[in-house]
Amino acid sequence: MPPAGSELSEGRKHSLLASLQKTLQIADLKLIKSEGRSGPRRMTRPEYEQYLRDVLHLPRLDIQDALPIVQRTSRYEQVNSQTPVSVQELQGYITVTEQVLLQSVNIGDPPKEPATIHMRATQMFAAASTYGGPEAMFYVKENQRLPLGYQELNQLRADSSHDPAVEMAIFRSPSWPYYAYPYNFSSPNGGTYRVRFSARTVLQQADFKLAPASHSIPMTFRARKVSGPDVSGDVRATGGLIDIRPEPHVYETTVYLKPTETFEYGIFGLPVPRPINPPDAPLYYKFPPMPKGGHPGVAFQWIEITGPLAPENWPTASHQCLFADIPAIASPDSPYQFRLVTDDAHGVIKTLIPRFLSEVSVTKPSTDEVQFNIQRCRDKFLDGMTLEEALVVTYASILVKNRFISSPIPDSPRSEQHDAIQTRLGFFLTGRHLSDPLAHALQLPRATPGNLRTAVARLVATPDFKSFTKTLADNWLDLDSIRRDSPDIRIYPEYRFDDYLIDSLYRESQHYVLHMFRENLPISSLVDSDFVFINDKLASHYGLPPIDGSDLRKVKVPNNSPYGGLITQGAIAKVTSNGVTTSPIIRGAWIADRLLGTPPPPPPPSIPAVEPDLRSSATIRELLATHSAESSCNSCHAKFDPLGIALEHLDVMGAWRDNYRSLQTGTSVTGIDRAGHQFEYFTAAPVDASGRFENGDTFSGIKDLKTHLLKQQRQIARNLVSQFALYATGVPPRYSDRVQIEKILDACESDGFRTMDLLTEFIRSPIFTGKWK
Amino acid sequence: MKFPITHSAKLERRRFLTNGALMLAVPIHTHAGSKDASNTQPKRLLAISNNLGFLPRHFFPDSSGVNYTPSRYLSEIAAWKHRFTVFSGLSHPACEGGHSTENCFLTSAKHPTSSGFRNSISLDQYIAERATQETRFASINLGINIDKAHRSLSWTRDGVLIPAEDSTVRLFKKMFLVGTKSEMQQAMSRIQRQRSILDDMRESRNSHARTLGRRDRQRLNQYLQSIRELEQRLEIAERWVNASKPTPTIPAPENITDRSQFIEKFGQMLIMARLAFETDSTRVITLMVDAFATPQFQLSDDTLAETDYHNLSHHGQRESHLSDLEDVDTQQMKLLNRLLTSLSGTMTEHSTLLDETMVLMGSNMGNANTHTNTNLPILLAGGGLRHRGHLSFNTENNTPLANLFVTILQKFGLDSDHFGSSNGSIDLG
Repeated sequence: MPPAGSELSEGRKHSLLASLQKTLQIADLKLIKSEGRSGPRRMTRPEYEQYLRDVLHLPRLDIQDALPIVQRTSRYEQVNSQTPVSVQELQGYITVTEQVLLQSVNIGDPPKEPATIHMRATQMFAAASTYGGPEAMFYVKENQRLPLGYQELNQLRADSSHDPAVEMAIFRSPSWPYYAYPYNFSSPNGGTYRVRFSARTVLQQADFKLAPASHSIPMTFRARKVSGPDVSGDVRATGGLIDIRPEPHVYETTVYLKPTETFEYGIFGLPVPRPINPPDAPLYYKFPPMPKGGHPGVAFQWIEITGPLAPENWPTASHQCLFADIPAIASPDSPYQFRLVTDDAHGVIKTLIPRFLSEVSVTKPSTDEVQFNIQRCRDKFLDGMTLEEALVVTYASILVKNRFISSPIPDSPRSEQHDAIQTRLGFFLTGRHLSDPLAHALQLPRATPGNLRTAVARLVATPDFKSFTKTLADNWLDLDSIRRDSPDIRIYPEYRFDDYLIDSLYRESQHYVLHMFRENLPISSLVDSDFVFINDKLASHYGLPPIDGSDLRKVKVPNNSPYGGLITQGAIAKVTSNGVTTSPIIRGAWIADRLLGTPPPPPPPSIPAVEPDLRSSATIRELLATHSAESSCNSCHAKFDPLGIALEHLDVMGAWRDNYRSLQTGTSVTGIDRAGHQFEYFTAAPVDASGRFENGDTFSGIKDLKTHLLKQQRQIARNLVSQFALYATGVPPRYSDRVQIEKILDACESDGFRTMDLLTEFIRSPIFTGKWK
Repeated sequence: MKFPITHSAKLERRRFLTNGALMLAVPIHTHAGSKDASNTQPKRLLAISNNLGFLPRHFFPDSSGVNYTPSRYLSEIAAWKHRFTVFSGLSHPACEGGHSTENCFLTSAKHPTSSGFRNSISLDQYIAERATQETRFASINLGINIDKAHRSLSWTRDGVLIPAEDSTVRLFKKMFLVGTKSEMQQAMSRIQRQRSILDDMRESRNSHARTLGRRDRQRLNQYLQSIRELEQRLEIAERWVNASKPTPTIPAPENITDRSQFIEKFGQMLIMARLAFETDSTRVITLMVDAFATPQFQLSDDTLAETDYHNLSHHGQRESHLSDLEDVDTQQMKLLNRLLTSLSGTMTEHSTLLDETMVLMGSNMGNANTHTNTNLPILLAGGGLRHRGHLSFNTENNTPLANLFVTILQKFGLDSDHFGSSNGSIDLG
């Protein structure tokens, strides 16, 4: 800091900066001309997975997590291209790629027609009961519980004497211990299964009688291992969300299972029984008391499982990609345990290698490259590898090379990179390598600087565009950390075990961002809109009129509602709190950083964080006041604390609150939560979301915050374009990008910085195309 | 990292040891892996988890600090009071779900029963991935009475279970007997394939190098450097395939298949672990004690536990259950004592095995009676750490157990300041 009183006058400051700016601009442009703007760009883990899915025709490939993550230097993995390749990374990619290639091979005869297993209700549950007492799950006949013990059930199963009139009814959500998967079913080798089942929603009344329900209940299947009541290994939702309706109906879906997996019934929003530890007796699980109207649940009549579904062709497209029509047969003594049926190894190498290269290459392979790879493959074979090894190893090195030796970049100064713009466009907007066949399938003209407007419009309309908004929202808005902290159930008992809420909140924000681009909404829609996307869960979460079903629907919000726009969505409230409390500091800093692109500097290391005390009645504002009284703190905090204070009416999950909650002081609130647990928390001080922004404007809550932010649309748009630059090129805006970004903003200002316009103009700018003047 | 190839002297030393039939309780450093061993003291880790835990009231000491009064269980290892630290108030945040947490003990993955759960890399695999292969096995994963298909302490980074070895005979064979020719060939061709891929990657790249700008050329050089490093690793791996195996200091143990011989089996596995370290077959061992899968078992030659281990653990304060649990817990502490004694009695090139070996013993279960996964019983012994007696953290608001894992990683010389759900490390420097 200069000594007080020695600051430059405005005029001198301006002229100094102007001359400096010119020099910097020239120097940076010169550097770009000689070195390129952004340097080579490697595929990210999701991109490599998608690349292998595409080129090897393996749509279900799941390898991202097997690929090593190297120290992440930015929110976007794209930026990792700037970090050196590590040995672990190299080895990880090589190992995984070889395994994936081996997965593509079809060994032996075509698979048999899939088998169909039909199960009656009495075969649909692994055990005779689940945890939580008989209320949690029971068998039903004529709307009355049919008590079936373990032995009777086993007898039924042994004799195959199942009564078609019996139903199996579940009144709890999955957790542990549970047991809710079909009796005696698992997939030995994994695969895709078609699942049909008949079900209805019901209400459990006194004495285990069933009454008809009037609401639908969403469910999904959860792939898991057959490991008793507990869970071991992956748990994956599969088959999508299905809304079970009140009248009996047959539903059909497709589930994907890994070897030895089965699936359990994941019904959303039902209780999870509570463990009770009585003295001098074993632990047991208790079901919550019956709410008015009865316990909602689902009654199943039967299920039919068909699979594993055979591939459409044999050999499959993936086998064809590797070995064309040459069949592979099992051969236990070979290194890969299979061998190709051919006598003409050299001929095979000569045909297959060019074929493979042209299918998987990111840029059109040169004759040199083709010859080189044929030669390498032949050498391997002559050096003693089997033909299969020589081919697979050559393929692996081609694929891994394509990952590490970065895709071509448009601004590389040395060589003519004619595919570069199309490649960059593909990875940016679809997360895929936009090969010529793929571009053709999408009816996309070959991307050149001249036709980018058309190309972008076409790509945005494809389903793959979701990959762009997903990556953008996950990284820019932290949506991928939505499950980072669980809400503290002592204070927020209503959120206990509420996977459906988290799931719905995530989908809401993702869908909103997608909608924003697809509909070319103005930048103001990040701050405010007159509609929200909600389902049954979110309607009640946001206190809006109830709707039925799990699908997100566009609903107009009442004028006085705080909701509408991105910043008031529950997902944002969630990622900006720690589960226990909301912190205006964190929320304010988040808005300043992620929305406005003006991240506050990190706090000085010597200053302790504001620790909320759940026992006391001091509100976060009072705690904040003490630290804002210090002028050294306040010089920064005055900029962003108010932005967070204005959002204080939103709790850790984004629901509206008038008062804070405490564990010790205030008015006691007791009850039994939806998971069946007794709770007590205290209603504490009322929320005060008023204050004064840095510019002096006073505010009294969310509406004023929105008004305040809507005055800064150019800044918000500037930040969004900077996010594009970082994501698309792996490099944050450079000095000479500033002029370009302002040009983009100028072009879009008159229409209110519509988001798709910003994206299109960005893609047409030299930052993206590399065509600097 | 650089790997100077200075193995010839080492090989001679090894030959001297074997020819001279000096089967001392000295690690037989095979050193097929080239490294500068003379200056660096090896670091080892044995991580043990009993998936039903220990009775908290007898595990945790009442007082804290270096001069704490040992609890009932800890008095069994009181002789090592200054060579271990016992921790209270540690757990894996958001790792709830009763028994389902057992697979997360060394991974700290969150919410093991929720949709979208996938386990993450375990501490042992994380170390194995990063360390140069100075031993034949990058890691060894053991189990007692283990349900191999569903339980393991050891997980790959994409959440695939690495099955535990529960047969002492098979383990002995793997460590000390010459493999079959076809096994060796398989291993060799795997290495050759990887090497061939690296060859391809390096060569085709060089032809492009001329057209690159300065900055890109720098990156390319880093990339080529990594290729060379990986080649060196493969070279080391290849040498391991061809290197002869060490000679064990004890005869092959008898394999106990009877699950009711729980304590006997536990003792045997600890001996095998020590043997693996002593012969420098590996630097990292995990051991899952699958108490959950243990039926009614022998407490002594003539006493059976009242019921199976899992039922015992849900004691509900029943006297008979509690006394059986106390008995089996105490016996496990005695086994630990025996292990620490034998590790400290084994001299190495630099000091003793105990000084080089971190022994982590604990559980994913804080209190099996109530199925809670907080306030886990954890102790860490040996390893040349500055031990701190009873280190107590907040029992209401636990500190991440993964912080201790970061400490372990750092002791291994790895440049890690983060693991799983850690938010710092624990100072045992």
